[in-house]
Amino acid sequence: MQVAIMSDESKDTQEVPENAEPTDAKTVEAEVASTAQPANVAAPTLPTETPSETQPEASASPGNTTADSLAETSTVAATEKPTAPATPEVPAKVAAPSAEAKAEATPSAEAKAPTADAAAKPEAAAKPAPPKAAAPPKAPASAATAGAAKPAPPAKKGPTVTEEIKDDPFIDKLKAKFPDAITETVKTFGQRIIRVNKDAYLKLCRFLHDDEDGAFTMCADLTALHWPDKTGAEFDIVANLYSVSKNQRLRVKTAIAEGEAAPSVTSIWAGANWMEREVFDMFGVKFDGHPDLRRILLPEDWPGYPLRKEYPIEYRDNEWTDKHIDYREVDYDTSLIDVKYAQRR
Amino acid sequence: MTAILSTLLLVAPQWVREYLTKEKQPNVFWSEYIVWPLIQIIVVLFIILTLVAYLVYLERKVSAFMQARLGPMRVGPWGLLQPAADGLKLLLKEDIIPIKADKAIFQLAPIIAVVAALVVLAVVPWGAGWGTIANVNIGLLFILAVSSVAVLGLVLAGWSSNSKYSLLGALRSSAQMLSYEIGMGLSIIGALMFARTLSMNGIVEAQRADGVWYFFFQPLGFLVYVICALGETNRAPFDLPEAESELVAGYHTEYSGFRWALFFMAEYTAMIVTSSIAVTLYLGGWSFPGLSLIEKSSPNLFVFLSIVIFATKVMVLIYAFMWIRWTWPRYRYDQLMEIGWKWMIPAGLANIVMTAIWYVLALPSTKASLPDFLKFFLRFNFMKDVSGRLVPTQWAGVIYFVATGFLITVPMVWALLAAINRRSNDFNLDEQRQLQFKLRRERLKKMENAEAAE
Amino acid sequence: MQSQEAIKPHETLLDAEEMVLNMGPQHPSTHGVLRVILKLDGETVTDLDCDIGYLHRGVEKIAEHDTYQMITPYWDRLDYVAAVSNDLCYVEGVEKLLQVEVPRRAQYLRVALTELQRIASHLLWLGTHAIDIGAVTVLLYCFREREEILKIFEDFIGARLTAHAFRIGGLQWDAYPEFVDRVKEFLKMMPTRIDEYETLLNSNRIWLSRTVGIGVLSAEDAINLSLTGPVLRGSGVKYDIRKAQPYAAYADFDFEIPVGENGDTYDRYLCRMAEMRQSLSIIEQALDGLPEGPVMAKVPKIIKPPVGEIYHSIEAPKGEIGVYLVSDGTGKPYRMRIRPPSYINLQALKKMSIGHLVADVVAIIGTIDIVLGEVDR
Repeated sequence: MQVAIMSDESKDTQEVPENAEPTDAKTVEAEVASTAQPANVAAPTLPTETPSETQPEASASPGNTTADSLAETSTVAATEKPTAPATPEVPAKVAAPSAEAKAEATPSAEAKAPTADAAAKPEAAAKPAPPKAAAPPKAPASAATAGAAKPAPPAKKGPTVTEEIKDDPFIDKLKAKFPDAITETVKTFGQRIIRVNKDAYLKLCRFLHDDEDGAFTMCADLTALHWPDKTGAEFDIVANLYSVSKNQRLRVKTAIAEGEAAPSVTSIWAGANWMEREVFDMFGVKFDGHPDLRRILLPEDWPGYPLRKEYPIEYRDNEWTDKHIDYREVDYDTSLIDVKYAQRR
Repeated sequence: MTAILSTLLLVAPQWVREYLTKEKQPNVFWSEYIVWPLIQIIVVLFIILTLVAYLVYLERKVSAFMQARLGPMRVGPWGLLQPAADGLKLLLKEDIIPIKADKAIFQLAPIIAVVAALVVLAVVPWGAGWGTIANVNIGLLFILAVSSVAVLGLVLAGWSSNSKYSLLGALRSSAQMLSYEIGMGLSIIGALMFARTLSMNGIVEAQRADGVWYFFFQPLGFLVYVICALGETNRAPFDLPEAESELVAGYHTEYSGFRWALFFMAEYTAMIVTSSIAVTLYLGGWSFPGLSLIEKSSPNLFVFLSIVIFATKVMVLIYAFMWIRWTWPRYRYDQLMEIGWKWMIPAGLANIVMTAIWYVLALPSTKASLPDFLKFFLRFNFMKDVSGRLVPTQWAGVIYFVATGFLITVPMVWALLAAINRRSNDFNLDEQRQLQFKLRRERLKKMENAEAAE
Repeated sequence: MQSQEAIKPHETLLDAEEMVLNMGPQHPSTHGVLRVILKLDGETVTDLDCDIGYLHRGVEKIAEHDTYQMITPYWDRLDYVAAVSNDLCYVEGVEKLLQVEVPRRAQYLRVALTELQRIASHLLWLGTHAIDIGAVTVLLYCFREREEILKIFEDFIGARLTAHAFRIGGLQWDAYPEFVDRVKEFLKMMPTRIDEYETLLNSNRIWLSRTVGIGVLSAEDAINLSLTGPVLRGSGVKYDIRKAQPYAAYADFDFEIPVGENGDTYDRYLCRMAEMRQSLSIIEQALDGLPEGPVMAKVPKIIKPPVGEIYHSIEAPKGEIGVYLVSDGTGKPYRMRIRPPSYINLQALKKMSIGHLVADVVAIIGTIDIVLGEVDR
């Protein structure tokens, strides 16, 4: 659903990635198109207009896969206005972790890595003490996800947090069973994640449920993620499965495109019923084969899907509340109070 | 009009004095049937309505003490003026009638309920002599008949409110009151066999004459009566018509202000009335051992004391009602019906049969026409004829009836009920007892384990 | 004992009409603003639909705009009768994401507080469950003991209900000097009080007939419906995250997981009662073995976790409460998903209620133990 109202702040912040890379989500594009400005005009507005506090939020709200977009944000700022002495901390704070991450990232980084590095250097020169605010000692070596231009799921991650699963007999069995469907098997913080194609999703879930080694009889959680910049794979359906008998967990992800319907797993896990309804309610993702797909937490005619990234947080008062909630101006008679105070004085 | 009023005001005190001093004057009709009863009615109504208000206070205090709290404490010392404050609040509250309600019936329903409850007070024997307002010779029948009109008030209230909760509450209450009235009616017949009268005062006098409260002759009848009375007055654990957690407030969900207060009043009055019947039938009414000693010497004190005794007995029963309410959970609707139909009614019927058997076996030989093999019992002279009325002989008869009542009737009826209900799911004694045994075993095992660990 | 098959409307000569009864959102026994739409045949429930969302605040959306520290108080307001447990889930999730090692003392204190909270939550459940079934007095008894716990909380944390007990990396303050003694006093008093409730209810005929055989769920159904917590364990499934995937310091303590047999309301009641006793034992162990040392790990003032995602769940009083955090390397989570136990357990209401009477629906809502602040989020 198209969100009609966008705040001024979000407009500003979304211009930057728009100018940097024209492959944004359609919804954002449509909105921004009307107010789009030339790149050389837009770029200087960033450091001057956006206060330093809102900077991380600004880069988060368009929902780019972050490290790169952040790096690019700072790249734009740094290259087009190399001597920005007024607010040097702003780009520095943001760019520092990503720059560090880039520096220590695996060699198979994207083609954009050099620019990120290039961006990092002048920033580091401008403000030499950012690491103290960056992250705990181990962390910065962590991750740099794939660029927004690449529609495929994030593939390369830092060695300490995310790694390929090796020597896991069950995962190997899965891979053997679904050789083409499983595109990714990683381990992060000791938690196993597999990514599967949409077409094989239901089959795989059925297998996970029925298989003796898996026995994932419980769907502990099912939710979605919104990546507006990944064209063609805007949503990730994330199912956290648990096996009571084997005491093991597995996270299954599948990507679907905007407007596409995800396969429903309610036929396998009845407990997924309300979770899928919630995903439908909050993200607008439809589920094929769901017995009772209605909105669950919000009213049926609520505008938009709140957990999508383009949905502004200020949109709590909208046309629905105008229509259904009757605000009344109450004219309190404060004269009496004044008299009392006057007397007291 | 003014003439009548002035006559009443001028002459009434004289009539009262005449009545009290038993010097009957020619104006006996006025004093006997109009003025004195009017005074009695006003006094009783005043006392009862105040009592109802304070019963609410008592209920709140009793529940508070049972629940480790203080209850009303703010209005007056120990919250003693709370009922007055509540009454005032209820009077001043907005009288809300739902738009879609049937207005006439909606307004009529609480009146029916409260009138049916209050009329009954006329025949309750509050005390000896002038303590009774109307000594009707069918008093008990009158009470049963009139108090069953009260259900009409509840049904109409539920129906006219045009609310589903009210309707469900009304349906529940009508079904419940009807079925429990049967058990109630059956349970009192045993006591009536001994009393041989329906007059409330007559029943008390009969117990004085027999020298024993009918509770000892009729333990089962008393039990069934009390349980049915709980059901009849919609008290916990049978308070389904107004089950707060299910039906919000049942039949009076839509009522507010004084109309609601009328229902409340009716409920508590019904509580007093049913307790009064229980006291009259089974606990000797206003009589008390040794009370008759002062009957001749100071009759007014005697009457006063009898009223106090009656009130005390009633309050003890009401306290028991409250105790039950604040201790036990609530039955479900189908379970309630099962208790009514599968336990109370068979128990009442069996009680009649058993009592009748014991009664016939105890008849004096002049009155009995028994088969030969039962004539054995007649030699004991358990009953004697006192001025045309059969009473148990002072020791042998009383012991015989008490023993049969407690030792034979109760276990036999219990066995009968268990046989009737052996297939009933929710009352499968065996299964529930097994569960308790199991729990106990587990607890014991745990204790043993703990000991072994030490 | 009552059969679980769906009952069809009676086919009688008279055309039996079904009544739709709207229970809630303002109703004494829906534990908040839950609206249950019942289809009744007489008083038998033939169909049921839950309407929720009256308390929806959009916590997950708000979290995307707040820093990691700012989110914690929102968790207090999910399951507001078990705020401490909620905090533990979120705080541990973030700590895992940051790979921060929490000091032992903090972990032990966390366990003690969480288990106290579990007792408090179960007490509130017991009271409301009993009042739903009509035993009013139990509620007040439970509140009497819960008050003690809340007083301990108030002195430790500074708040009674929405505690905000933990900070990312440990605790804000160390325990006050009398804390251990006060909790031990409570531990000494509590078992007799639990006996008191059990005297009132355990073998009460009415309580038995209202709970035994009501809302039966088989183990398979319970797992398939993703139920967790006592609702699952009442059906005989021995799944408790404290044992299955120990978090905080639970691996150090010795305790049992009480499970039921029949999966009915009564077994769930017994489970929770036994759980309270187990919690007492855990608290005792935690206090006895309370290590010395700091209560706060070194955590940067501005928290920026590495890019990555984590799912962390703990055993809250209501069941498995989980957090799914996706970090994009900035100071605010890219997405925070709350796995709400009440919300997911509430799904079972329909399956458990159909075929029972209206009064049983009330008992079943009570036995699921929902808190609408968490259902609606």
